[in-house]
Amino acid sequence: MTEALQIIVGAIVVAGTLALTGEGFAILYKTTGVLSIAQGAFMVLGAFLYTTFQPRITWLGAAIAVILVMLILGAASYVIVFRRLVGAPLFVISIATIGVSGVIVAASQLIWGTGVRTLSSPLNKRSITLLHNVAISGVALTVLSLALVVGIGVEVFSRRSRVGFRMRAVAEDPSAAVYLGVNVQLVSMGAWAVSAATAGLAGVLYSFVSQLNPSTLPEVALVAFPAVLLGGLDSVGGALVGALIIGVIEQIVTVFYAEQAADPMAYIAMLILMFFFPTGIFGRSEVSRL
Amino acid sequence: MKSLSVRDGVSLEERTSTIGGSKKNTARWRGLLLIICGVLILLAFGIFSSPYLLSIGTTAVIFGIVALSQEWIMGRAGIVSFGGAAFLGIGAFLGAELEKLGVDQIIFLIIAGLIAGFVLGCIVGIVSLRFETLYVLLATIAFQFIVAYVLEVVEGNSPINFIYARLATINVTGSHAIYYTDAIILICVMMFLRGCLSRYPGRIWRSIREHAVASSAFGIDVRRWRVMAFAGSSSLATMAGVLYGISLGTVDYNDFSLTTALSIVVMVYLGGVDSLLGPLMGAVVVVGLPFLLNDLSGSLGGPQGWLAINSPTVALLVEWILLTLVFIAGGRGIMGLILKYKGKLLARFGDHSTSGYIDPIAQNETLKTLGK
Repeated sequence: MTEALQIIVGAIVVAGTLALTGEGFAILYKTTGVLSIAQGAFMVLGAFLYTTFQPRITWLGAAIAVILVMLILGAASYVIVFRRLVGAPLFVISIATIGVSGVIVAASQLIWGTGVRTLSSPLNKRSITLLHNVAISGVALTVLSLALVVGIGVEVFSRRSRVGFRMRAVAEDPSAAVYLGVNVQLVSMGAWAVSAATAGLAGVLYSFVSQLNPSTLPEVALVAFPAVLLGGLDSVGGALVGALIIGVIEQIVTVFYAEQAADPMAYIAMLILMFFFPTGIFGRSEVSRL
Repeated sequence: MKSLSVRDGVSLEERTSTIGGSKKNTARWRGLLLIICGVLILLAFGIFSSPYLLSIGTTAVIFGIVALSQEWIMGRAGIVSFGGAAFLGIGAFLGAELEKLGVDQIIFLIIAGLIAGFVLGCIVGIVSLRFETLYVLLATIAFQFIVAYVLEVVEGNSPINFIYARLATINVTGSHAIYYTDAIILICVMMFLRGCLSRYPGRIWRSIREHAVASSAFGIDVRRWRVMAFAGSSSLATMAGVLYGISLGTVDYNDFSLTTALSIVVMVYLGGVDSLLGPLMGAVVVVGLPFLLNDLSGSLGGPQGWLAINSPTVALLVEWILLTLVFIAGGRGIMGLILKYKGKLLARFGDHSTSGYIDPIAQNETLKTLGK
């Protein structure tokens, strides 16, 4: 019973950060069709920015400042690089995101150093004790609720609002969207900004839960891929469900086998599911097979 | 055909051969010239450089082979793969384990690498190539993570030694011997790829890359050809892994991380796809840049200078900025830029008969005008 509770609590922590990162992926994929490898880099950047802001202002203020700065930086990355790649094959843009990711990680390592840091927040100190002395920390609950809010918010936004409608039009066919008077550049810029901001926030929260290691954090973001893919690449809400499933799998492997095997196991799960449900649980069927 | 002769005594075959064949002959001469130039450059480097430079050169040559193998699938067959480092690691570990068992003939090690890579490439290819580009990319990332973990388990507590390999009775682990061995293999790989990609199989892969559905409608078994490209390139990458293991001396799973996988992709795209020289240039730049910056920092800021401490990170930053700039400039890599600006003179050195890449700038201009 205690073990089961521990697994669930651990899964919630993992799932929260994975879902937030995954939602960033999904927002971008939904709007621009680009699978960004740069999300991990934005996580690193967000966490480092937090360490710069936090001593000067309160933690909440710092978090809001991180979101604002990340919005600007996300938009800037679109304006500087990805705007010029509109119309190129999607995998070429995905590879260009590796370049941007590398620039961001290397630059932030030069500015803030390569050392591992621990971030503290008042959320770390508070926790709720469940049955059998298993405690769930405040930060874990915050991460999960934020992931829920962002997930549901984006899903509702893209289905109900005019801007969301335009975002979907841009993803479907950028040229046709242009003909219909949609400002493709503005919509894409918005998507980059929002996905960078969610990644930044996920980076801060991940560093609360674990620690800020600028060399491994970009790989943490890649573990969000199985989560997003499980939920369906274009489904923001699906990312949340996928993240929960991956979180449970990773925790079971960590508790019963070894922690290092957790990430490979998540990928094996992804491969198996890809084989049987190529579009994920909630994704639309658009994968063409030959 | 011989019987078909025309009035002036020249057979039809001879005529057609002079019309269509002159092009073929130039191509052949160009290929020969290219190989001679390559051999001379590699030989000159081997003779004139210090052991330190030679070790960098060996690494560049090995990564050149890997970059070429990845260009085969990414540039020609249009499959995006992040699996390069995984196959490289498998090769290195396979070599080290075989050496432990007493197999130290380099020919056998290379053949073992080729076969293992091919078999594994077939399996991974069959599983991952069911899907379209982005999903293949994800599947290969998954493969990279799984292999990294398996290698970590195989390695156990300490890196595995891979100290001895020989060709007949000659020890090939010395800095010169390993360099020349790798250089010869690189030239063989280039000749093989040139032969393969400029003929029927190359055209098939190109047509699949351009339009998979159309190719399939013309009777091409798309999946089979894709798996073949994937298995072939995995085979080459695994063989390069064996060579890399020999040149490293100790095999450690950390050398085959996702960072290495990304570096290999960078080599291919930095150098330029759709060309055999491009990936080589990319490999030289990516391998050489950290050392170059390190040496520069010694002469500029002194051993205690900021650049000296941060030179690996600065090298990475420069590398990534270069890659990003290359993409902004049109996405055809260094080779593309050379061809663009130097025109016909240098066009002789590249194989760029067609390119499936849509010029992003041109496309973007269209979208911009439409946007107004």
